[in-house]
Amino acid sequence: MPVGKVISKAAFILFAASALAEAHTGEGLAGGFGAGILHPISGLDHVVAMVAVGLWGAFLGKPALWILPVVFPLVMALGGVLGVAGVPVPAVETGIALSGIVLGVLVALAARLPLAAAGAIVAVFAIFHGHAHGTELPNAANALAYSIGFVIATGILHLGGIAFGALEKFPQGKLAVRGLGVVIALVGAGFLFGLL
Amino acid sequence: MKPACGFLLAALLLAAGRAEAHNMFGEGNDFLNGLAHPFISLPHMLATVGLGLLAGRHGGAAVTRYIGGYLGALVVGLACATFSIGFAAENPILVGALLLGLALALDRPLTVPVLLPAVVAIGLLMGFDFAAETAGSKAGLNFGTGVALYFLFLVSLGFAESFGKRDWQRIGLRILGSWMAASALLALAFGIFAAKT
Repeated sequence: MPVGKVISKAAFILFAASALAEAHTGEGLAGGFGAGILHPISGLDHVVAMVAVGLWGAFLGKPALWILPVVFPLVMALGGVLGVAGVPVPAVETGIALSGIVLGVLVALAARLPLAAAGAIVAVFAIFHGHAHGTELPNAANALAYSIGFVIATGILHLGGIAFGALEKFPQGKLAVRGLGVVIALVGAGFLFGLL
Repeated sequence: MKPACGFLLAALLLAAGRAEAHNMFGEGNDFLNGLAHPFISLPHMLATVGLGLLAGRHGGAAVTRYIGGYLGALVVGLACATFSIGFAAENPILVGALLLGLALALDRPLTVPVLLPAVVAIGLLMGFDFAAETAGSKAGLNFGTGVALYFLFLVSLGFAESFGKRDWQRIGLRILGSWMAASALLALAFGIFAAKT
């Protein structure tokens, strides 16, 4: 392996490790970034919906495959702006739970909707998720570091969904993807009815 | 070299977790503290990376103009900072990062008359904001900051130039652009609305 690659990879690992090691402080850059990264992944309701967006995008194929992960963070940020500005959005937690149910069902049923419709559905749910993130910024956190953290975490969850959705190419994979859609819908229902 | 560029860029971005004080290297190490500065000022880092990625993605034959334009603007801006000429420009820089991120996400070619002024404006704002951040700033600190910002710009530009050749790579840049725009938008909102409470 060329020396340049070794050095770059080593630098990446060292800096990533140091950034992660300081994520627990809750303050400053590292704390803000750590809090932001943790926020979407510490809520199962967020996790299942983000994965479902990636899954559904993978199922729908191009261009939805990349349009959804490009549009979602931007609309989510708009929802976040509303949350920070104190603009009330009704039934945020219900909307988040419904996102799991609806997206999970769409994946389970292998629903092929037009791109505009798929984008609209995802955008509506993105508002709810963003609003929740925006209202839950930790006081001591660096705002931009927090934003970068939870946008990245959201994107990684999308990519996880897309990666799993690639199994659609195989007969057993189709079953696995639809099965995951069912699980996601059930988790969403669990949150909606207060079971989770 | 291309994956190494990406790892180096990511390592530099994550290095923000280490840099928690303006004087990381202690008093008297102005140049080193200046080198560290862009990695503790996330708006500067976000805007510079966005600018570099955009210039690399759409620069084409004009990329040398962007390289020269950013250098010139940084020199002027930081020279002004040395004489404490400047203003708090974090919000304009974040607006710049937002627009740059959107431009990356939309993946529309930008002409020189559009991109070059943006390059110059961002470079100047970096310098002016630094004057506001560190009142009575010293030449060594500013020089170190300029070197680091320019290096970050060049690495980002090189990354986008080498990484934007295939479909999936261009999609990756678009996703990165949307992440940058989303982060900048949220940070602006936090800054504006949180300040009022």
